[in-house]
Amino acid sequence: MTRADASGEPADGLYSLVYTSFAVTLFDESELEELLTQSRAANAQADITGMLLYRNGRFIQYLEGPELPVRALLARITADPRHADVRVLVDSRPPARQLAEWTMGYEPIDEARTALPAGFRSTFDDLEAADDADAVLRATRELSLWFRVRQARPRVTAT
Amino acid sequence: MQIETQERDVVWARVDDGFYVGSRPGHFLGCIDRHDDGRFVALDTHTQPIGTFGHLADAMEAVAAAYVSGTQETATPAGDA
Repeated sequence: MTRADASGEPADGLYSLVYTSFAVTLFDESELEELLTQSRAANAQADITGMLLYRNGRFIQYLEGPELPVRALLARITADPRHADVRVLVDSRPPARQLAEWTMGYEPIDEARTALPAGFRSTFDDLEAADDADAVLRATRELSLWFRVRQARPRVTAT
Repeated sequence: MQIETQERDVVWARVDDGFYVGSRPGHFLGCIDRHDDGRFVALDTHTQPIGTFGHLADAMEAVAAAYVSGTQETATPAGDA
């Protein structure tokens, strides 16, 4: 699950992207585990790190690594019959990896069940803001932070 | 006064029930993680705990104050996606 050596970076710089897709059929735990096992093995070989979120039948995946392997992976995902409506939300050239330790970290995430606090934005609404690249980037960073904190401690049970 | 100035362009977002992230353009302020006991743990830009609070608003103030204190030494870029 974790990346053994996070020190070397591609000579031509890092490339990252975030895409969303819909699962053609709902994944159960064993299917997700199989998907993750395949992803981690392939990503380790291609020096790709990132995270996968699964929320109500929808995948949100952040990938970072050398550009060509990341683009090739996206092409495979787009052609994968388990994914539908693959849509790249944002791509960029980050100065450093955000998730260097993870060949493909995974966290399930539930729909919020409480009202949005006054004055707060919704990260997932911002992810949908296709006409606002800044909002999408910020939402991606928020998800990355959420992922790291959640990975560092037992999952919180929402009330 | 300095905190008030910083707060003008602060954006707070909820990722899920119990996890909140504060940011300014190009910078993280920190985040807040609600634990099972209902208390809010405020975390700084490096996700290090800076305090535990009974109310979300208090945790938000702590995050903002820690950020302002930290920027007097060095700002932490939010980086890129």
